[in-house]
Amino acid sequence: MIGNILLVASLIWREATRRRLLPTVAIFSLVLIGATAWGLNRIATFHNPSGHTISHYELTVLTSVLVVMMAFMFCIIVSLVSAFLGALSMGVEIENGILLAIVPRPLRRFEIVLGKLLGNIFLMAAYTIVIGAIELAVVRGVTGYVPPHPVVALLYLTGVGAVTLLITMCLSVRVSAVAAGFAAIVLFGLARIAGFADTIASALNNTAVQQASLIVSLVVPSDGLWRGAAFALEPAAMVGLGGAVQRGNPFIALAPPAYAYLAWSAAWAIAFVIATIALFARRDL
Amino acid sequence: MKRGEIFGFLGPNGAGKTTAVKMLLGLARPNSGDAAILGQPLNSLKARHITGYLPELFRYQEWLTAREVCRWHAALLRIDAAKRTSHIDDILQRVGLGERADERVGTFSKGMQQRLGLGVSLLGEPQLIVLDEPTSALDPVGRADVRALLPQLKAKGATIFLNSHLLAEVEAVCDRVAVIDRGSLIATGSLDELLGHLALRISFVELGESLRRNLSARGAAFDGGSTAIFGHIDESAVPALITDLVQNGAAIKAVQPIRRTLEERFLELLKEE
Repeated sequence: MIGNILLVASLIWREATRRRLLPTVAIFSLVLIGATAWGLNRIATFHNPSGHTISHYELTVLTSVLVVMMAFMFCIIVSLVSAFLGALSMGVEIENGILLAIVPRPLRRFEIVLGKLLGNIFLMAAYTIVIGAIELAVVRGVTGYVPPHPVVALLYLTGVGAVTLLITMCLSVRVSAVAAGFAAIVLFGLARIAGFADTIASALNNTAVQQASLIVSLVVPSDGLWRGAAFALEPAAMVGLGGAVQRGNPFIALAPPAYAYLAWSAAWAIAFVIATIALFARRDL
Repeated sequence: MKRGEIFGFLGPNGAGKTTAVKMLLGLARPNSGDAAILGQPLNSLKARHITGYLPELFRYQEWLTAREVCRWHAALLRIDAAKRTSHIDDILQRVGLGERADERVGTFSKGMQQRLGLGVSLLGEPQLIVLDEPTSALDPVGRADVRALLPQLKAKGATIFLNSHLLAEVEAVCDRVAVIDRGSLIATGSLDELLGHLALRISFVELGESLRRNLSARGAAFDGGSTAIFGHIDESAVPALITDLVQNGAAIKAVQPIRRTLEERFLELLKEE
């Protein structure tokens, strides 16, 4: 079983290199990192009208906010990459008939699903962690700022990518690859909007909106995981300010996700894997 | 199907041929009923292990080379790693891709991709080879190659299930055929059973009286000229008949077997339905 799963996964890794998928995405990501390095350098060497450069404290505060915002942009890119990978490996292969020659081979359909999931999650995680780590290293090199828990933040971002990947792969078993990728991105956006709404509703004590947001965050846990990444990147001083402005700021997380929420997210992921296997087992090709 | 035969599977568009093939191979789920592949339960790993399949819609990873596609399928089939390379070389040679084995599938023409699909279906020397329209993208040379390859596979003990629209091709290579229409079997049997008895037309340079009597005694009719027609003759008796006539001094100009073509019989069957 493991041998078949690894064989299927190996095709995904080989495709990513042969089709220059990862190098292309990596090059564009490195260009973005270069642009942010240039921007941070401009801030670090900024001279105000009186001729003074920005103070170290001011630079740290500004960079800590910018890092969270950059991480959010990166989170969107990770989700797009995940939707693309998921649609490419499952939906496209169903549509173009490549699976017709694979499914009749002596392997089970669930091994195909698990192999494709393993291959894609490995690719997405490698991309997220390597590019994210380079970005944080560049931030440190230019400004000297290191967020409190960078590794935890990267793991949460990988979790966000996994949510989009699982949704795309599951849907693409039943609907077209394009529709599945599009739906996964829309759900990612919906979860983020619900997260925004929750932040504002909690500042205004609107329980109805909070409950609606909670339901969305349970159905699509990407925003809950994103908040974990944001919290891991925020310095304690930023969280400690705590006032109404911080509570209503959609880019600031005042607490990490509860263990119960992380357990729910893990259960959600397992349920989606099982659903994908069940749907693919019943799919006529 | 019987072991070791080449079995033709015919039917008009929409009859359910490809659906039936897909159910046999686990690509589609039957609503009811059951089947077995060479005694193995449908969809069992054992059945999959002894079956090779060329889909009608053949598509392989265009970013791999032909050899890499074969290697990947060979790994799935657990073909002994020591024998894998020579086995793949041999198969690619047999399907005419020996020279292009290390080129990417994306650079292949449709016909070459179909040749690759045929090669992939032969990996591991399967006991059952299911070919769904195996020559649809091939040029006349490729079709002739496939026609020559199928009897070789049969001689090695493989059973071949051939789903094709090309009735002349089926007629040329198949031992038995089945015809389906709207999901139901409407005829099955050997070509002789399906096409009826053989008739024979023999043209002579000159048809003398003694030869005419000789032929009449054997049941021949005449067309008024110098041609005799046997309306019903056992195919195995033809060589002896011709030898006997020649030994008796007959100057034979031509011997022409007459039989309904599979296409004629196929159209008749559909009309009867």
